[in-house]
Amino acid sequence: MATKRMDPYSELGVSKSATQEEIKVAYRKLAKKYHPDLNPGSKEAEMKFKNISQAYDWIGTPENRAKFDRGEFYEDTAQAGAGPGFGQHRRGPYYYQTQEGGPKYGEGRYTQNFGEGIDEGFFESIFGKFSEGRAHAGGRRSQQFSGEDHHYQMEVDLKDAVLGSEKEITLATGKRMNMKIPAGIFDGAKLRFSGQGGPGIGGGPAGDAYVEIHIRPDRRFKRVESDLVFELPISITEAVFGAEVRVPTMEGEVLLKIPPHSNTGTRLKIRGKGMVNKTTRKRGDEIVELKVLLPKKIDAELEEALKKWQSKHSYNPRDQVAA
Amino acid sequence: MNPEQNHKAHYYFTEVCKQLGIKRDFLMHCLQEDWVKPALPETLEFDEEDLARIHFIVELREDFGVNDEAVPIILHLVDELYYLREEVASLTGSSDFSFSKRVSKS
Repeated sequence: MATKRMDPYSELGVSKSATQEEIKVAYRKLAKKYHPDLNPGSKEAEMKFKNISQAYDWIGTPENRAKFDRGEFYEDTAQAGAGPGFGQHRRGPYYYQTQEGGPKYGEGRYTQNFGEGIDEGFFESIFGKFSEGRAHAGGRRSQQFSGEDHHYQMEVDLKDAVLGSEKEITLATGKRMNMKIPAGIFDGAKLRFSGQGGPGIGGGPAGDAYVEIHIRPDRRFKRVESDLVFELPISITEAVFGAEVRVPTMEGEVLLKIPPHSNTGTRLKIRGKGMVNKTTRKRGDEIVELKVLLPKKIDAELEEALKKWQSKHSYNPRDQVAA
Repeated sequence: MNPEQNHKAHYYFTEVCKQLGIKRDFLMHCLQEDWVKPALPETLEFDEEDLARIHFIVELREDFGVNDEAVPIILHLVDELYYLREEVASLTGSSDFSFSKRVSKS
């Protein structure tokens, strides 16, 4: 749809040769006259204010003005879908709309109950004994707020989570501090550092810093609730005759006895070497799952031996999964 | 708390600064001067009313050249004006009480 081009100079009532100061003065004068919050409910004032705001956006600074005079500004805003004459830069309602607009924008928190003190003297009501419910004039420092809480996220290795560790962290304030990660911390846990957030307001206390811990997936251990599952490859002979092999745990290697006649899928338990259980606070187990591997190269001797063995002891390993 | 408040949008300190393009120090100043009272003071969360009021304060200072001493006076007068408009509207039974005639004549 074609839109009529607005001339920001005539909208602000200044000539094309006006200085930036003259433009500013003209804008301020019109803004005071037409600001919707000073003319609540007036659609004409609102439209006029939008137009002069848009006009001032276009020529209020030397850079924007030069761009507008070259015709670039109009093209930019037209391409962006903002038709001239309708200031699109403002987001949200005007203040008066929130105070008398009903449930759409607000409840008029700042003006409700105003009547309690309406008979007070003017200066007294502004500078004097404001009641708590509607105190928003200046001159006093009654409001105190805690500073903002700052939130961070940190990834740690599984070993750090299980055994605990110490890490250095740089806060948004630029401060560096050592952070102790307690042993047995679980994924998603938040550590709080009191007073390390944003500064307090009006003398209020500083906010806190929260660091949310995420545990990186581990290459060797798979987490199943509070247990850690480790897949241990073993040879055919270890599976048949049993063996003692070294197995890694979070605290280092331990010797694990593999009973004779073990098979792929056999699960052996090393107690108390898993993750800390979130509820019981006790450590889970490390589950060692055996996986029988053939040698990388099957030689003639093994082939021959298996042929002999098969002729007398043939078996079907799929018996148990048959329908 | 009014149950309806649960459904309203609330904004944290940094979101307000980002949305209105203002500096943290300025928003802190608004709070210290009592010009703005956040909807949820315990958690320092602001609602649409707060945002509109802060926006108005920004315009008063930047567009109108109003100084810090005059801001609370204007806010007070404006709040009183809105209150009186509501009172007049409720007394006359009209919800269309406005100053549009005054503006269009001027």
